[in-house]
Amino acid sequence: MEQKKNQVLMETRNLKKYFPVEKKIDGQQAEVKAVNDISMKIRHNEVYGLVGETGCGKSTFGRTLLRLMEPTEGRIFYKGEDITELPQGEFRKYRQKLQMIFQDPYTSLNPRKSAGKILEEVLAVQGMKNVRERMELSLEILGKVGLRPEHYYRYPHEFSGGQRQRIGIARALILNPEFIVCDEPVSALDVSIQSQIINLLLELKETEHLSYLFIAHDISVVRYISDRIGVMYLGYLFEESHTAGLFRSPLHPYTKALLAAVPTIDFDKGKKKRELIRGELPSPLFPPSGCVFHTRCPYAKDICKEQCPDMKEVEKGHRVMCHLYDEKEKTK
Amino acid sequence: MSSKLLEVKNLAASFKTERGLMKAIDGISFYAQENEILGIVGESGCGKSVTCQSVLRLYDEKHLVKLEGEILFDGENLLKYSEKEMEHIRGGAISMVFQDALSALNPVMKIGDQIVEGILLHHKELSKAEAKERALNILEQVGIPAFRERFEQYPHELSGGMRQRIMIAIALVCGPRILIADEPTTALDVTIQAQIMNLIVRLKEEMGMSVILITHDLAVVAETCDRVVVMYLGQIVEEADVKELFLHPAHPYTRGMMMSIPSMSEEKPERLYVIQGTVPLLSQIPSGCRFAPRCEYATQRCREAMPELEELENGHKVRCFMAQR
Repeated sequence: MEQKKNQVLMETRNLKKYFPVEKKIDGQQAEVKAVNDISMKIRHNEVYGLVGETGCGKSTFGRTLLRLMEPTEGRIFYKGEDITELPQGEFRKYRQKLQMIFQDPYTSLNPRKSAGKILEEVLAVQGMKNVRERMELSLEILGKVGLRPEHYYRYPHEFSGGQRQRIGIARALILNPEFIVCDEPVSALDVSIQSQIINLLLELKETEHLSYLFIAHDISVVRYISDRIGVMYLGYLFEESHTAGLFRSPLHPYTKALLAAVPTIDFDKGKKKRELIRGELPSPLFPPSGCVFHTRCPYAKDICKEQCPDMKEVEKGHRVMCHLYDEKEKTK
Repeated sequence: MSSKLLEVKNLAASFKTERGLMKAIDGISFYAQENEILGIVGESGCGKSVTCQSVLRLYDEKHLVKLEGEILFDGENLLKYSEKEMEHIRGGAISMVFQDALSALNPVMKIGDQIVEGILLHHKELSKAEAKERALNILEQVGIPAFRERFEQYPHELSGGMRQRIMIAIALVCGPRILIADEPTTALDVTIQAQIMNLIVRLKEEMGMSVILITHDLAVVAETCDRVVVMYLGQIVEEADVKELFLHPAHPYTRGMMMSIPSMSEEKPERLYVIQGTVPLLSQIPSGCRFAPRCEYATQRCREAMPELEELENGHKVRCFMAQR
């Protein structure tokens, strides 16, 4: 088991997702580079948190990883097997293992189907013909996510936000997946409900041996739930580290600014003076040259304007994409 | 500090809905002082927005069945004002910033014109040129880069953070004495949220106004507010200075909310604290203490009698039998 724990479950190599837009720049078809050259690994039974501001590409990355969108370039591996170009028919059997939970429990459930039917539909698509078996399995899953058998016949509008999110989780869980992309699963929920759902996700991770890609903009939630965290900005993965390391010593100037902006309940240290990040996210249609963060970076040097830095491992398990650490890697 | 600029006494509001009569707020009393930020926190449906909309009488008259109590602004009861008189108050002495700046701004009107419109409404003596001058000043004050160009742009040309700055500019341009901010940063990223909250705090200092900040985010409250009111199911359950509230929360609901959010500094607990159950519907308000069905300390007495909001010490008030003992 211990050995399995360190096995890589999902992996991307130089994954890119570009969206063409109806615009020509210098006579060329313009593109938004939503995911740019991301290489990362998610291990068995691991929670990988992905943070970044609106439009940084974190949701697109999650969807591309599950091939809900086809990547522009790069490879995706599941247990070492290249699944990037498998035809849809063949890919279907992998779908069971790779599931998704969506942010908005109000729009991601069909309002005209009861909770039971929503769950059984998933089984029917995967070819389970026996109606009775489908119902039994659905009821079992309802129990696992903390709902009661009588909820089987209820429709989405009869549930509260937290209960709806439980149905969303049940739907992802019913095919015995190994990996779930959770795209802002608690952002739409009130604080008292949020902790219920987070606890449920953590419990299921243990009992069902799941791995998560946990996408969220709430950094305190990501810190709590994640084993490792990746920080994205304008399509790039800027930094990646074990959770403790990232909060103890964030390396990238953007990560530092992002963490400093998080409000905290802390009266012991008095009012803290924080260095706020200046300006706003540049348009993804016209990303800055070199390092895309140099326009807002207080430490930007000449090289940052010209050359995009490489991702490098500065400490064990702690990677960063920033010229400030060029030297550090050489001496290592 | 100073006297009570706004005082709400025993405010209650009922609305007619498809599911019958809903008492959205019940017996709300609080006050706001000059040069302070009062936070009103609570989860969806607790009545925090209704409370603040009532101050400006922004509710839908068609559905309002009953509005009781007093809203005293400078000693005058706003509920007794005529609609005409209220128009002078709104955007003049008391103004409001909404959560969703995109839907609150007029999409087919230039930003500059929207600010000028507000100025001319309240200051008929000003010429167009003077109003424009004032609008440009406020744009600069709220930190809009290249504000002269922005003046000529439309809302869709701006980012979310910039739009919220425009909203704040419109709210502040007539020099209000009270600014009501209803979830002003909820739709924004943390980096932008920090910028906007800093801006609100700075402008409060400069203009000496009173700010009422409505939010569900306890961390934002901890960082910016001076005093806090906690609401649950249409009632105030606790009120205290911000430090007192976070260091010595007295109501089980306040404590539960604080414990259920993951901390940024402490060791991670195995599991997060959970407040059992969900907020009941307004049509199914429990008898006795409204929090009793979810409260781990609830006794028979809590289920039968409603505790009053009583002062413990130094302005720290709580609605709970356990804490009052």
